[in-house]
Amino acid sequence: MKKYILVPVLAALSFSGMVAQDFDTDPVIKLQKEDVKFTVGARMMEDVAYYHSDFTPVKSGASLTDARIRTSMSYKNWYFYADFDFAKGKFTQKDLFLQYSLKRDHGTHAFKAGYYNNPASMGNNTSRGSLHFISRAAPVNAMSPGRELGLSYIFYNTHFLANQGIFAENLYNDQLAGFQGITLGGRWLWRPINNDDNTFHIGATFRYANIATGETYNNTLMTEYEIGTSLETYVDPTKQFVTATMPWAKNVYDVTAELLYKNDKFFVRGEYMYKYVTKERDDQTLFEANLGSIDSWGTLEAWQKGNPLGSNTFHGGYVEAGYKIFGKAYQYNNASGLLGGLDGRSLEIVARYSYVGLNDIVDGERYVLGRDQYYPNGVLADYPATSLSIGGGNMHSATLGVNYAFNKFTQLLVSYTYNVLDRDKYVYDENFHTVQARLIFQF
Amino acid sequence: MLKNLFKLGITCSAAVVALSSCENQDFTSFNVDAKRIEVNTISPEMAKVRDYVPKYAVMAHRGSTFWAPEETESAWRWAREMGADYLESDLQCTKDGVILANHDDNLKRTTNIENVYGELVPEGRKDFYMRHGLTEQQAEEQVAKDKASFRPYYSMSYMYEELLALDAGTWFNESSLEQARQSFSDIKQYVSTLEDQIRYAEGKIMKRDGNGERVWKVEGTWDPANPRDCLTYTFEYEDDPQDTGNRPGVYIEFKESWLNPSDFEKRVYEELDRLGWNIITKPCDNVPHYLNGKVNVGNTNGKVVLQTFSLESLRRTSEYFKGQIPMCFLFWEGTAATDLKYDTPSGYASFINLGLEHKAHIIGPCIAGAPNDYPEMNAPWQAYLIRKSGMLNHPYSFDSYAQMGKYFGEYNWGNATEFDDLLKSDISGKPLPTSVYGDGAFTNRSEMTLKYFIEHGLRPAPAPQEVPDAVETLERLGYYK
Repeated sequence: MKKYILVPVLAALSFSGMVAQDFDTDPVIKLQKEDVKFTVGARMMEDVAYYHSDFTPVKSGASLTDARIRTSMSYKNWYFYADFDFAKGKFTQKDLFLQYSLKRDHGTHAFKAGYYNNPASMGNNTSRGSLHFISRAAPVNAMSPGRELGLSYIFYNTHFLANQGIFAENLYNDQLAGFQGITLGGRWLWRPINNDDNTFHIGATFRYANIATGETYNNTLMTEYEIGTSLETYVDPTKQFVTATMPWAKNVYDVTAELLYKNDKFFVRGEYMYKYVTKERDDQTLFEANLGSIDSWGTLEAWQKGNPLGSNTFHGGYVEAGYKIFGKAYQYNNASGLLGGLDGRSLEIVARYSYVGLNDIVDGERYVLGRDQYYPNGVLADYPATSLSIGGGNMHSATLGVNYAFNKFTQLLVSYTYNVLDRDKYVYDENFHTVQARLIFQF
Repeated sequence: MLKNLFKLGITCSAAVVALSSCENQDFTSFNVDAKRIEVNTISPEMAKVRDYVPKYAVMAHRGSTFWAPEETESAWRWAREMGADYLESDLQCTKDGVILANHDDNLKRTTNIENVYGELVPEGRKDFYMRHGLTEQQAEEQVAKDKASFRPYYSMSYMYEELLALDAGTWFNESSLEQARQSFSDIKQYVSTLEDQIRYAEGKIMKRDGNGERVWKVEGTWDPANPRDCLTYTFEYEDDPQDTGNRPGVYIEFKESWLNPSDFEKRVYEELDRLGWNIITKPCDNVPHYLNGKVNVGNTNGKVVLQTFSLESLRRTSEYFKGQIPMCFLFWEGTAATDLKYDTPSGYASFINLGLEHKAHIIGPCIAGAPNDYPEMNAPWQAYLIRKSGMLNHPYSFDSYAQMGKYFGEYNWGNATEFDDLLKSDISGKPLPTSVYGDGAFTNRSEMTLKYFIEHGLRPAPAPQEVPDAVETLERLGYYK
């Protein structure tokens, strides 16, 4: 027994750069032998939600939305982390990476390899256990990159953070043929104020994804890119109300600007997000595949005119704030550039406004619901369909919440969210009300 | 710690119970949603035009697809003599501008064109041009151009003169063995024109020469820049000796827009004008639908009903006809360019609204059931939305008594439903014994549909109350076995 030391978790990680990616609390169970340390932790989230919609039903109820086991091992400057989810009866691989860190006077350098969140998002890199909200903001769900397989270089000190990496677009290289695609992502922060009492950072992120995987279609590679979000809830995670699908997507560019301020009892943070998607298609092959009947297009130019391909842009943003009524001061992590979660018995109130805009509709186009189709210049026509519009839906959301931590392990989150949807396809659905609660237990 | 956890457990349990007890949502139900959503309603001005069409009208679908070769003289004469209110057809345009009545987008199924012309430009094309004013060189150049743009079997690729060489009757005998009649081959059935259809509705018959060939002529000089307006066809007709006095109207469909010239609706407007059947220029006010025990729709303002599946044609029709002639917007569920893709109450209502916006007065939904097994687009909730809009509902197409019973009150859907508030009465609000899901019917069996309507009180006098025997009528018209 003396080989093992059970250490309650309250302190920061034992050495620089060792940050568990999807938990920001330190595991309770630490097994240490000489300079090797092994940790085990777990987390459970159970949600209940009641929804009220104008027209389309949303499924109220309860759901086990998170069930995790995490492990880590550290040895000198090396750190290995593995995290797995088995909620809803499905095993899901979460973070799985190795990190090497070097602490120097001017800051810490770290190299990280494996499967983890692309750095190009503050919202998505914030652990669900530290959100202060039951869900990430809708624009984060819709537009931020998730976990990817890659390699990163990270540098940070008190005033700066630079985190950038290169990633595979297809995680398992299981595309039918060809290159699996690549993404680049980075997040850069400046912290003009960063002391024990106050932290203020501003930053930007950039991500580029080259989509190279897809399905074979008429002897060409047809890629597809889909983005969407739930109503900032997990009990009914449907993305049907806010979702956009883009066949032939080839290059995706994401740019965000972010800020964060916190003191002991208050925080505010937010991001603005911009996404630009370009497309690419082997028109010549598709045109030739179409030849051979009396209904063939006459020329490649005619085919292209009837099957136009355009780029799309989307926007989103959120700002969220919290005020701690009692409990320990809000914590900020220099290594990740993220706000921590509740720590020990505490009570806070939080609020958020978010906007996600997946409507990219060409001016003057007309939507016909029965066709789920836009018509250029507002003119009904049979053929060909030449609209470039995407009506994925715009949604404004406002959330008020109260979070109570019974202790360092157990939290109860209760919130109300009001969503206002603007999507042509859901003409009768405008207002959504969600009352939801979450019980968290983690160690 | 334990005390806190106990409190937490109690709190969460209470929350779950409280939230669950508030739960009042249901699965998505089209029946429920159809009553919740809004649909636009027909204007009083448009309702006047709607009422040009008789209640529970019987539309003889392509004349009949069951008893005779569709959209030919034999099918339409039969339908007229049976007492159908409308002779239904599908309009297309030949290369030289003749407006045809033909259903398919090509002529393969309903004629012998594959044997007559194959996939080539008809051999006589050069001679045709030369007979219409072109030099031999000009004619050869024109034929070369025709070959470059030729789409075999599509009406748009042929001169009407060339189509006169086709047999539009024999195929029926080969595909409908039980209804086959030698006379459909012996008495040559031609690819019909809109003029033919209207003349048959007027009680005429095609004039034929001693060899049984139709009498016609074509005049004019070919103008490549104006191919559809440079020639004039003249067809001759005579009184049908078997005419018993019914005067049905015509229910004519603009086919998919890519099959016809972009001004096709305007051409039909002008052709109706030329034939004296355009009520905008030649109204027939205050004429009854039924007169002296005979159908008289063809002499009323309801003599022509327009129809289309095409959104593009719907738009153009509204521009040319301005809602002054009854117009039916046809529904088909699917993913093609003219289909209703999103067949939910809101999607369905959006199409009804499109129809109203483009000055349609009638919705024509397809119905389920053998033998065609079309998609179901006339379920009670769908019929309810149509009625809610104040438009007429003309479902298509009926082939069996089972279908009549299902949609017109006798079988399962005659039971009480949540839609009885609107559907247990006719379009004018007159109560009915049971809900019905249509205000008329496209039918391939006019005899059956007429009898059903009469027997169920939907077609009272002065509409004819006797329905002739279908086979005897064919025999009387000269269509022997």
